[in-house]
Amino acid sequence: MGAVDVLVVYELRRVLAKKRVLVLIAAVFLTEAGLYLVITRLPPSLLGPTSSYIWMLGIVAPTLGLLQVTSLMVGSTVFSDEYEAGTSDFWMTRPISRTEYYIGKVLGGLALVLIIISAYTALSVSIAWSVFGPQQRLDLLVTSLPASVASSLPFYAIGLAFGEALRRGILATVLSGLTFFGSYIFEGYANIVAALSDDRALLELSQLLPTWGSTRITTDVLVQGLTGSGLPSTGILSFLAGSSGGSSLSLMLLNVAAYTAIALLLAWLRLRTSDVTRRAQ
Amino acid sequence: MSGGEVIRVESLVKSYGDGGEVGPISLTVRRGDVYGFVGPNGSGKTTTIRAILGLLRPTSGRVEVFGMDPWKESKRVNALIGYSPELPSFPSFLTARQVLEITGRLKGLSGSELKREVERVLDLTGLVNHAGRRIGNFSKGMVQRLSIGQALIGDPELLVLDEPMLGVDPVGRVQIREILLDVRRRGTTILFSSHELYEVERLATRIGMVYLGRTVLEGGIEEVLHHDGSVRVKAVTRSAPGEEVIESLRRIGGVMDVSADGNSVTVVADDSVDVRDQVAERLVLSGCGLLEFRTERSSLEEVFMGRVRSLGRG
Repeated sequence: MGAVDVLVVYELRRVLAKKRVLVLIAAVFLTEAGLYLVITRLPPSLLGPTSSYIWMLGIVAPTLGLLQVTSLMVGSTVFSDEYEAGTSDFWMTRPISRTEYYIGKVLGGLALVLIIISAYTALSVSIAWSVFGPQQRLDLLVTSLPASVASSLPFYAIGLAFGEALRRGILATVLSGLTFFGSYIFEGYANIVAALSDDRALLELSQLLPTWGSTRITTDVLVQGLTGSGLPSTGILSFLAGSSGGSSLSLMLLNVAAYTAIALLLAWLRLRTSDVTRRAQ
Repeated sequence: MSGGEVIRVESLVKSYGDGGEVGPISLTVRRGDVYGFVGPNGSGKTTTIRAILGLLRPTSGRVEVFGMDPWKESKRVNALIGYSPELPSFPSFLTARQVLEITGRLKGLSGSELKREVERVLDLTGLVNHAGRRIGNFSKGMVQRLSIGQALIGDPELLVLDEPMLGVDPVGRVQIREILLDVRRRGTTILFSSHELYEVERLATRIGMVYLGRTVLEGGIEEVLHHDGSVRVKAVTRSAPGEEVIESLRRIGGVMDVSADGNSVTVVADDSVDVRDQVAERLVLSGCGLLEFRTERSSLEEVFMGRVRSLGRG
């Protein structure tokens, strides 16, 4: 077992031992269950043929905010918790390089995010199938799952960078949370103003925000997959199209990749070049 | 770095963001040394140790461990070192066995070899019956013993221990001392810092003393203990000597200081002059009666305090 493998396994166990992360994971699953519970209250005639595609709602809903918050909470504790607990000394005095430590910890946190996404995806499909009958186009899971992972990446990386820079978990969570909600609110506000004033420049500006790609990419992937599948342009398709904003997938990928890469690079540089600080006494 | 040197620290200076600075500190640890690193709180012991482990980058000066720069080659350096920090912390959700297994794996052990090594260390540290317990439920003394244990995994060439006796009860202290004596017998090089000067005197073969962020004394234990060039003559009399007797002892050539506490008299003299006959004669002639009479070399604590006082005057 190599150093990176040891760290990945350790990181998974560490995050799962944290109560606040467990609470958030529970919130994701309760949201999924609650979402379908509410839909069962709708008259069947209103759902129509979209009931065969209802599994997609459970995939899209978390990516509109909850997944990002979960990811930033996981990310912000990856390095900071070790400094706060004084256990960074333990790792950095083992025969592992800083690069291995960084890769192992980052992959470990990411593995947990992947497990969460896989679990709520499976839950979503299971509930949809058992409550609304056989579901169609499940082949889209092949693209929606990686898209959901991409959704989580920018804020996982931003949380991680704040955690390494500040070396305080709560502070890192608050600041990366503020980044998320600030960006989300500003984006919504910019969209409304742009729609009222027909200001294309403002819309383009909002595409530079970290929430822009992260909250749209999964929806966009599903919309593109459904286009041409004979589904009426009302119901679920119009809901999904509205959430995605009808923008270019490549631009979204670029946005996600840029924020993820910059945040990961900053965290890496900080870890590589600064002293290992001791636990605050 | 010459042959046989395991650690060489040359004029290490570390500046901190808050304006604090430690150094210049220099020390040399040779293969087989048990190096006691002493000094008051804040004198730079832990900073030096952290630089040796590659946990911090020196502002200036040079640190070499096995001929390597620990900041640049921390992986290779740490493969040869076992380290127990001051106030050790381990992930509280892990068990003692898991900590030892992780350390063993990272040191390249696996399979039955890893299992044997973990069992050996659990046995050595007296943690066999607690191996499956979460560290979060451990007492301070148990954490300290685990810390020493994980440092011993894989039989490292160099053991670095920062305050290994801190917060340990008397029984735990004896156990840790026995472990260290055993490691010393096997020829492992040890660098340890401690405030327990009595322990340092018992274990160390070489001493480095830091004060106010600087190295003020370094050498073999015998050399350091004779550093102040004095010898102590201690006498216990039947009745307490009067002031005139004390004054007559002070007038003996080579005597540097005389102190009395009830029936006990301590005469500090230049160790190049033998004052024992004259001290005994004057005490007997004074009529105080002599019950005990012996000479002692300075303890490490006395050397340390003497050094601190002289630097304070300077």
